[in-house]
Amino acid sequence: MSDNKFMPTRQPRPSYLSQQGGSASSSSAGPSTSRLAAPSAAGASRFGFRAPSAGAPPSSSSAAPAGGVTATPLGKRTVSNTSLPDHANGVGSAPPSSAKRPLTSTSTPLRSSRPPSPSSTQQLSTIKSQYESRLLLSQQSYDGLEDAYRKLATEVERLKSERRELAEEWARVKEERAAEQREWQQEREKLRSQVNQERAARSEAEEELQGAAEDAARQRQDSQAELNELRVRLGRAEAEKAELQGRTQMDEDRRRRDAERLSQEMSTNQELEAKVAELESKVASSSASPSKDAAVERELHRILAHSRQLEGQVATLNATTTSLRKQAEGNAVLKEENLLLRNKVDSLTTLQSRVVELEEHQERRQAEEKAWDEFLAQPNAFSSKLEADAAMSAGDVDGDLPTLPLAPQPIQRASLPAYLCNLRGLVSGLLTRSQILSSKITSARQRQESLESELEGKEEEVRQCKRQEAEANDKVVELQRVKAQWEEENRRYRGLLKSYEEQEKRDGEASKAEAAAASIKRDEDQEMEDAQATPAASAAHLERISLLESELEHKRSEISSLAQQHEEATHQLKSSHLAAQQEVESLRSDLLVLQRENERLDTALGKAEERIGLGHFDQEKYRCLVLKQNPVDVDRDLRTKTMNRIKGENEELVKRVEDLSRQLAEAGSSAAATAPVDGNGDAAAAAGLVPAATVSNLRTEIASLTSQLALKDKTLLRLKQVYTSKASEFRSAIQSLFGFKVRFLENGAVRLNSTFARSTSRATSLVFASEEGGVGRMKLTGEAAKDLSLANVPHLREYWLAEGGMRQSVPCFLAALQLELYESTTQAVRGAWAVPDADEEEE
Amino acid sequence: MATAQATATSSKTHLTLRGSTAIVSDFFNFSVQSILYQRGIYPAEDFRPVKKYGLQMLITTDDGLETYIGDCLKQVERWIEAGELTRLVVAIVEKESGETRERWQFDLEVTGKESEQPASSSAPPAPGSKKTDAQVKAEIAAIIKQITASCTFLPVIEEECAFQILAYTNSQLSEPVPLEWQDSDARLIAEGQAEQVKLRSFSTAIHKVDAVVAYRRGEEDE
Repeated sequence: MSDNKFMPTRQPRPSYLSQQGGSASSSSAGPSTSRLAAPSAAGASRFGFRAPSAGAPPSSSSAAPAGGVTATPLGKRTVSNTSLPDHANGVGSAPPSSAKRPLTSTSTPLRSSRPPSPSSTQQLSTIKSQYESRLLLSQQSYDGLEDAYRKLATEVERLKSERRELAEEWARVKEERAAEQREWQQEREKLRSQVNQERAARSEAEEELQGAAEDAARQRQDSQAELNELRVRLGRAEAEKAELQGRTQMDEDRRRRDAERLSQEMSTNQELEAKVAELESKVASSSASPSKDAAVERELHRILAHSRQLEGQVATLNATTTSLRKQAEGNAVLKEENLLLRNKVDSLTTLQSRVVELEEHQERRQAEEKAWDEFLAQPNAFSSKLEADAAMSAGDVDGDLPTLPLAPQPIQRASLPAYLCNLRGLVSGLLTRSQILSSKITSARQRQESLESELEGKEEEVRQCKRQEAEANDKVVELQRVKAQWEEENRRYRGLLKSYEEQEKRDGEASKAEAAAASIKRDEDQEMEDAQATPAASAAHLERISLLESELEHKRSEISSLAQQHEEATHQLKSSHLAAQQEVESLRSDLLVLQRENERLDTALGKAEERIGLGHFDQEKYRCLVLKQNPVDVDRDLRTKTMNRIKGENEELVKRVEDLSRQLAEAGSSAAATAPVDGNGDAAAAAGLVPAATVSNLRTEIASLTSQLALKDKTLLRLKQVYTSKASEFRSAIQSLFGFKVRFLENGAVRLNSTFARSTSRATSLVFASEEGGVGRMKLTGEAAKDLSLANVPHLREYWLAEGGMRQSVPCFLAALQLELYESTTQAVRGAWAVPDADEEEE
Repeated sequence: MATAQATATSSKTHLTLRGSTAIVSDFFNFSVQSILYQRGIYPAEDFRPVKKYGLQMLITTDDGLETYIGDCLKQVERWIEAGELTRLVVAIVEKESGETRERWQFDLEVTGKESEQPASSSAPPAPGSKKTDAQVKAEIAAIIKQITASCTFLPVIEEECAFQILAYTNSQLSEPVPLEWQDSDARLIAEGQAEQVKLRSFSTAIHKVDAVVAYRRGEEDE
């Protein structure tokens, strides 16, 4: 682009030169024309001359009276001769020489043609001087233009050099930039590799961390497993400990029992010993008296024996005790087992009783079922009659379709058999009816098919007969035609014969007969003509005529026989056609009957389908089952219960009213009568009036209402929660979309706090309150109201909200204010290098 | 990948009894809930939308209703699998009078080879025995659309109504009837007041379901 801009300075040089030449020629048009007048005059001898024009230069016009014969060549030629591009090689010197040369060249012929006179010489010299002065002038102007051109060329050169310099500088700067870019690229690569290294290091560290975490997890799992194992062991040990403790306890108990028994025995022994000692002391004290000795000794013996006996008893008892103890241990185990068994036996007993109960129930049910079955299956004269009647009425094919009998409500033992019999009879009747109808349909179809096939055969016969009839007709026509021909021939022959006879009668000449024969038998060959010419011809003729006549007779008889045959055939055909038509008629009537039957069956089928569609079904084959706890039954139970409750309440209330009225009647006093009617009687009296059922009903109602209330409360709470969360969501959406925290005040106003603030405590705040007539008030507080450098609020207000202004747009005002606040706060942050507030960080 | 999967799903065919049973049971579930929503037996806010059979279907959020339908259909599925269910009816009954207003009847016929029912042996082989799941779903969607559209001709229900699911089975069941079930009357519409409209049907490789709705004619229509 820059090259193109600079290049044209070199290119236009020739054009500039030509233009310059052109301008030079035009500027010197007058002189050049006058200057070239002479050479053109030299060429006049060759190309001829023309009269000088009125617009000729004054020099030529002035020359004309002098020279007499002056001529002006065509301007085109002069222009081509004087055009500068011819002298492009020598810009500075060529034009004067070329301008001068014609003068010198033309001067010679002028001189040669006419001797120079002093006036012409003078004139020539003046002209010459004029030309020279003009030439000088043009030379000067040319030189001036040349200088200008040179200046321009130098200017161009200077600009070109400047351009070169600029291009060089550009290239240099470009190289510098490229070098810088390369450096940056290298730096970037370096940084990238560093980042990659860092990343790799980080991933390694992460892997290590993960490995460590895995190890820790594994160790934790191991320790957990160990802990579990230890816990299990501890549990086991504790169980063992408990077991051992139990055993120890048992041992201790046994030991204690033994010790007690031992102590008892010891105390017994001690008592015995004490008794013995006492007795001995008694013996010792009483030994003094011999009378008592014997008694004492006896007593002692007795006691000793008794003690021995007792010791033996103790020993046996000890042995027994040990054995019994062992037995008791076994007994305890047995007791436990016994207890278990007793429990089992108890449960079995309950089960048995349950089974017995169920069996009884089942038996009862079976018996009931059996009774029902028997009852239902019992052949009853009345029921069988009913069934037979129903079957008859349903099975009657010609009768109407029977309607289904209505089920007795409620179903009772008395009414059920009749209903069932009816149904059974109806079903069997319908079955027989459907069988009869289906068999009828099949037979009718078969008959229809056979009749159709027969009909087809008959139609085929009819067609054949018609064909035969047509053939016979053709034959008859042919025969009639032949007959007509024969008759014609016969007539002609007869005429001929007659003419022969007449001729024979007239002249009897053979030649005439020959001529007549020739005229008659034009078609016969020449031999026949020759034969006819002879007298034997008449005999032949006669013979032939008789032959022909006999043949005619034969043909006639044939025709008559054929006509007879034809008549017979026609008669036969007509009779067969009539029979076929009758058969077709009968078939058609059969078809109609069958179609009616079919229609009737179709309607019966449609009715049956309709019954199925309405839900009727075969109760012997199918069962209709329903879940006991279904909405309809649940609703019905609820209704029944409510109804019963209300009925009970009503009855009690009625009873109460009756009681009261009776009491009132009994009391008879007006004071007693007015007391309950006081309205605000005491609660006890009022409570006495209300029956218990009413109270319970009301309590149930209160409970249901309380539960409903609780449900409503719960719903309200849920709604509140939902609304709160939605409102906060809505506000946060507005804040993130428009940069304003919205608050709806109680008086209906809306407060907007801009999120762009230097500090949250001084945030710009706008309060909008709407008034009547679509007008509102706006109150601005916060830092934007005080600090104009933050936002030019008055200007914005004037621009967007001015009264009577074009715009009056609050949203645009808010947007513009936000923009300015954003600019100011973020600039402030940038300028102060301050950490933004928490809210702004959130933003 | 996704296209291939979609093609595979659309060309999948349920040839087994279990798969067919699942399809039929699923259809019963959605059609029953659709009827309850469309006929306004339960309030509209008790239903939430789900996408099924390429349609926006509604299923209940009422716990009691959900339990009832679930319990019913669990047993019904067992009966279908045993080939013992012949018909399922949704009867809409007036709470006040106990009269039946509408009967939505779904007749189930076993047409496949796995059936042991004698009735099905004489039946011709199902025309759609090689149907893909997508085709079956399209048929089901057509029935559901008809159920939705039937609100236009059915009389408006202004009275409070409840509903019952009736299952018609063979009289001789292979297993005893569960204790939660009992015999019921057929909840027929009063004689002479009933009208019926046959709906479309659908079939799987094994089952064929015909639908028909019978309703009590309004008094002014007579």
